[in-house]
Amino acid sequence: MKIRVKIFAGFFIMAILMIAAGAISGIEFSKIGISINRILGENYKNIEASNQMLVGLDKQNNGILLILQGQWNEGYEEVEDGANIFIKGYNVVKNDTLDVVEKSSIESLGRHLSALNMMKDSTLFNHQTATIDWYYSKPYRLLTLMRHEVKKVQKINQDALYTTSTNLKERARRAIIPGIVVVVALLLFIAIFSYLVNHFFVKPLLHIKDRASDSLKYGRPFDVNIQTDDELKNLADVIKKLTNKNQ
Amino acid sequence: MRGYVIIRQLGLVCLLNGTFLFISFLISLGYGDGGELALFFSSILAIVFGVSPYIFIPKIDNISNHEGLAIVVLGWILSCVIGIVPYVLFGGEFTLANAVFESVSGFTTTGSTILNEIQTLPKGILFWRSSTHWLGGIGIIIFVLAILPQSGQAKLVLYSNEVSPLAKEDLRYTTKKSIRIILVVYLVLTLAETILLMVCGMGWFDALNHSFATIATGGFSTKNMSVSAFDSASIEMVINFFMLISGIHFGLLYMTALGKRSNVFTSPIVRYYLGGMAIATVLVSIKLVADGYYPDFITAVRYASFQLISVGTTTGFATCDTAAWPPFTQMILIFFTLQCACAGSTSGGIKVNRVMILWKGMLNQLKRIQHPRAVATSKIGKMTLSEETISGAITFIVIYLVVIFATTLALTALDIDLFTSFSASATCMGNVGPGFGNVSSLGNFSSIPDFGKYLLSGNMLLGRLEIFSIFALFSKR
Repeated sequence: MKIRVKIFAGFFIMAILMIAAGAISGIEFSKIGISINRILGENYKNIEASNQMLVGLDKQNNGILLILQGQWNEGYEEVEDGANIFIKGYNVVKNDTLDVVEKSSIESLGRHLSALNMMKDSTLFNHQTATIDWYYSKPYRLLTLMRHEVKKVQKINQDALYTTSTNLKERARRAIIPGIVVVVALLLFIAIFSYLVNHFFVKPLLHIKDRASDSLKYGRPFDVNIQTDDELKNLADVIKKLTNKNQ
Repeated sequence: MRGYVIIRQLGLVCLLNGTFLFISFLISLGYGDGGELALFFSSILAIVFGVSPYIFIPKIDNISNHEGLAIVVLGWILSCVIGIVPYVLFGGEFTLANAVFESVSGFTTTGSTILNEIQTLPKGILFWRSSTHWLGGIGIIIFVLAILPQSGQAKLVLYSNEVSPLAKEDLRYTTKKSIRIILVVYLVLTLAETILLMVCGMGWFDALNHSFATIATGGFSTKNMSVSAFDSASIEMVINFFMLISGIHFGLLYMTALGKRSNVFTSPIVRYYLGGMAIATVLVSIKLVADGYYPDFITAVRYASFQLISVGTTTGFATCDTAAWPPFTQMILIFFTLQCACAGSTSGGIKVNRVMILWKGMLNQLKRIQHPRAVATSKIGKMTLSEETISGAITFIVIYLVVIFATTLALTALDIDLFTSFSASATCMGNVGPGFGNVSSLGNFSSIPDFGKYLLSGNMLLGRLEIFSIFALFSKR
C-alpha cells in the first residue's frame, strides 16, 4: 500500500470516528428536542387545559348555587361562562392525547358532560324543580365525578411531565458520552498513528539518509532493509542502484 | 519488545470483538429494543481500531515469547475496555464503575453482576453480555488464533502464553490441532446445550445466552432471578450437566468422544473432581434436609447439586439463595469457590490440578519426615510430579490466597462486612460469580462502592490470567 493511501486511511479513520460520534450525539439531541416538545406540546398544555376545566366546573357549580338562591340572571351567566371555559379545556385535552388511561378519563368526562347539559336543559331552567335536595343528589354528584376525572387527567400529565423531564437527564448524558468516548479513542488512535508514522515512515527515511551519507562519505555499501512495500522501499532501491553505479 | 507487533495482533482482538458487537447490534435492530445506537457505535469503534493496524503494519511471522505474553495480557485488557463502551453508551444502571465491573466480569467469565434490572435491558445488550462470556471462556487469543490466519511460529507463541501450563500437560497435540480441538469441543457443547434447552421449553434467545454462559462457565443470565426464574427441573438438569462437562479439560472430552485410552474415565483429576462434587452434594443435601430447608432428599439434591456444580465449575447460575443456607453448607461452597474445576476447561480459580499437586506434595513431605533417607516421588496417575511443579503450584496457591486476603482487607476498609468482603474477593478471584452476604447467589454487586468494584475487577483479571502472566510481563528479560 502506498504511503499516500496509508496517511489518508489514518485521517479517514479519524473522520469516521468523529462522524459516528457526531451522528449519535445528533440523534440523541434530536430525541431531547422531541422530549422537550412533548413536555411543552402535550403534557404542559394538557395540565393547563385541566386547570381550565376545573375553573369551568367551579363556575358552573357557583352558577347553579346562585340560581338556587334566586339570583337567576347572574346564575345563568355564571353557568354559561363556566360551560364555555370547560369546553375549551376539554377540546384541548380531547384532541391531544395518546395515553389509554387518559383517553378513558376523557371519554368518561364526555359522557358526564352530556348528562350535565341534559340536566341543565331539563331541570335547571325550570325554577320550580331546582331545589337544594335536587342540587346535592344530581348536579353536585355529577360535578364531583367530573372534577375527579379532570384531576386524573391532570395527574397523568404531571406524571408524564416528571418522567420525561427525568429522561432528559439520561438523554443528555447519552448525547455527551459518544463525544467523550471518541475524544478518548481519538487520543489513543493519534498516539498509535504517530508511533506507526514514526516507526514506518520517519525512521526508515532517517535510516536511508544516514546510509546514503555513509555511502557518500566513506564509500560504504548502501545496505538498507525496508519492511514496508511502499515508496520508501522504492526510494531505497533507487538510491542503492545509484550508489552502486557511482562506486 | 516491538510495539507494532503487539498493536497488529491486538487489532485482531478488536476485530473479533467488533464482529460480536455488530451481531448484537443486528439483534437489537431486529427487536427494535433501544440498544441499537450504543451497539452500532461500539462495533464501528472496535472494527475501525481493528482494521487500522493492517493498513500500516506489514505481516509479521516471528513473535518473541515476551511479545506473546504482552499480546495475551493486553488482549484481555483491551477486550474488557471494548466491552465497557456499549454499556457506558447505553447508560441506565451502567455508570463507569458498573460498566467496568460488568465487562471484566463478562470476559473473565466471572458472572458477577451489578445489575438489578436485567430483564429490562435491550436484547442486543444482553446478547453482548453473554458474548463477552463466550469470547472470554475459550480465551480471546485462542479464538483469534482459531478464526484468523496466523503463521505457525506466532501461533505457537500466542497459544503457549494463553493456555494454562497445567492444561498443556494433558493435551499433547500440535498447536494447530490443539486449538482446533478446543474450538470444536466449545462449539459442539454450545450448540448441543442450546438445542437441549430449547427442547426443554426455553426460547431460542434465552437458550443461546444461557448456553454461552454455561459452556464458558460464566453465569450471566437473561433473568433477574437467574435460572430459578424458569422453575424447571429439566432445564436445571441440562444446565447442570453442561456446567459439569465444561469444568473438565476440553482435550479429555475430545479424546473421550473419540474413544481414546486417555479419557475422562481414566483421568485421576477428573475422578477427584467428580467424586468431590458427588460427596459434597450428598453432605449438603443431608444437612439441608436435616435442618428442614427442604422437605425431602430429592428436592435437596436438586438445589444442592445445582449450586455446588455452579460454584464448583465457576459458572455462578443460581436456583436458590445460598445465603440463607446453614454455615456448614456455606463452608463447603466456599471450599469449591477456592478450588474450582479442572485445568484446560473454561473455569478459573486455583483448579483441581493444583489442589491435587498440593495434596501429593504434602504427602510426599510427610513421607520424607518419616523416612529421611527414602527417595520419595509424587505422582498423579502416571505423571511424576517434579519439585518445580509442586513448588510452582504451592507458590500459586499462596499468592492466590494472599491476593484474596489483601482484597478482603481493602473491602472491609470500605465498611463492607467481613463475610461479604471475603466471599466477594474469593468469588471474583476464582471467576466464580456469586458469593455470600450482600453478594449472594440471587443478589448482586451493586451495593459495593465504586472503588471496591474496580478492585474486584482487578481481581477477576488477575485470577483469569493466573497471576504469573502479569508478573512475567513486567519481569526484566
